[in-house]
Amino acid sequence: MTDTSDGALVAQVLSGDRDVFGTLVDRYQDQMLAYVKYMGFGADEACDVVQDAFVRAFRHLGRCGEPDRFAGWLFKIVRNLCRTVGSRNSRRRSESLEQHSSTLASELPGPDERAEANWAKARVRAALDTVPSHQREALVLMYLQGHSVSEVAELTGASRSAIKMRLKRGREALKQELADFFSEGHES
Amino acid sequence: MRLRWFLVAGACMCFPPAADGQEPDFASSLDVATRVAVQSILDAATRDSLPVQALRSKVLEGVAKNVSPTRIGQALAALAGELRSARLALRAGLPSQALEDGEVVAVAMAARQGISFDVLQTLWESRPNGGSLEVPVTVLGELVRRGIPVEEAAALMTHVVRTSVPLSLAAQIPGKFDGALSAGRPPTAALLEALRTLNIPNPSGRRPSG
Amino acid sequence: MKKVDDQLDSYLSGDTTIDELPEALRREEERLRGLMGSLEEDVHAPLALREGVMLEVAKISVPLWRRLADWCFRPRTVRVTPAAGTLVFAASAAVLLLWPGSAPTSDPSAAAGASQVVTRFVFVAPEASSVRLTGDFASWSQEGIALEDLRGTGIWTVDVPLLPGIYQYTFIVNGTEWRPDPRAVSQVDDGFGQVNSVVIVSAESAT
Repeated sequence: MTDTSDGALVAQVLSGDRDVFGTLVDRYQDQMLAYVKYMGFGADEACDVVQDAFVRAFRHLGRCGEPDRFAGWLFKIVRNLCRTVGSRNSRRRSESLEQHSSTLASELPGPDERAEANWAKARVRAALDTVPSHQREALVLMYLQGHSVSEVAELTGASRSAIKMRLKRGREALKQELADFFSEGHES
Repeated sequence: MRLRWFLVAGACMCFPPAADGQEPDFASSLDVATRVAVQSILDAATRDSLPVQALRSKVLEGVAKNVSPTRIGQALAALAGELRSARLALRAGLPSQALEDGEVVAVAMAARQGISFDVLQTLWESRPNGGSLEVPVTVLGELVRRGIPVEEAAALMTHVVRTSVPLSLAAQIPGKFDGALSAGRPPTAALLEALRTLNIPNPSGRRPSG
Repeated sequence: MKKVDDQLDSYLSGDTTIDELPEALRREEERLRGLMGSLEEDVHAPLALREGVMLEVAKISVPLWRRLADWCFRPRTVRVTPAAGTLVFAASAAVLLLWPGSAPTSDPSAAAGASQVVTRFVFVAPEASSVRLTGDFASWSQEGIALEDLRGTGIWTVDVPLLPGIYQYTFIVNGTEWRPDPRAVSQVDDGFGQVNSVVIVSAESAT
């Protein structure tokens, strides 16, 4: 069976098979894009950051010391790029409405259903926006990307105790911002 | 020849330019009788910083509906009176607040439902940033028109404003309420169901009943 | 409070599971997971991202010197004495302190003004040969905006881009009958003995 682990793929790319790099892109682009978006970037800018990160990763793939942990190494490139670009306000640019097609699917007037359906998500995102970036990062890595405290510490270069403190403070901040979601009687 | 020019000049003087002078097309689109019926009302509205566009729209509506100039004038005077009262109430309650035309109109329409500005003032005090309250005030008026007690409707819309519920959602509350009502729910339960359908957290924290 | 903090600490460390938390803390954690989890599903990279990466990758030629440099700079596990380690640390700190910081990135300017919202108007009139829409946004012109019955079902529709606001409107059926919209959020007295319909066109957020 062909070895498709990250380490094997990295080795193939380093030996000259560039197309294989596309498999690594497929494997991690969603995860990296999610991180960048939740760190406050608008959709277009997040794609630019992630694309740039992958290109840099390719350029410096030879410096990836542990190819089997390509994702963690890539994440650090993404994280550093986020800090460099650091453009939080791009999310608040309004996105233009999709053009309605001439085919009419419904007889009822329709406000932007996508916006309404994602309102709860927008509340959570807005609440995340108010949380300091270190705390937000810890919350995103743990609650969205499923990393343990130890893994978050390793990815960010902070100590476990620092990560726990960031998580606790971030949780409190979110609870305050989303107090009505935590109140008795709210149904999610 | 001289007499002809005097007559032309005299005719021009009978129709002085509008006080705002900003839309000569509007005035010129009206027949003489309608213009006479409405001009002084519009001039006074402009001087009093009322929402003139809403008033002009009412005139055009009357013309399109082939209403008599006298009746257009009466309707316009009535509307101008409502807008004047609304603006005075807003100015008295919020002396340093910039007022949007849409908000003045919305307050005037809410007054038709018996909603005083005292009740509406909490919306202005609750908004986190300077967004227009035209829609929340209008929705509040619609809920009261449908039988929701004023205090309850005001508390709900205050919560909507404070938590930045998207206006496209807030605007659907009356319609969803109607749907729940027609399904047999009593008004309070219908309102709670409307909120739940739109995924708007219930400000009172009560579970829906019925 | 200290006990709760310890329990949370233990949970975050992975020493206790969520089920072992006290009820209030467990409910809180479940709610938080649910709220954060609601963000999870909707991030999918567009095709253009991968294509963009591979296009750039295709252009890159990695010269021999770079490959050698990469080999040199690839991290490896080494053993150092405390003295040597201190020297390396001090040298690294000096490099970091002297390295010019990233140029501050100015925030992009906020988007200009409100954008129009495409608003659909619908009128059901199987018997009609024409339906037009007029109102505040059309200066109440009698010509108005034509609706279309695209499928021949008697359901007339038109999409109109409107700035956010509250508008009064009505339909003109067969060129002569002025009829309000039964689906409208509200009907208001027009001051002329008839009623107008009201549409609320809203931007996404109140603020």
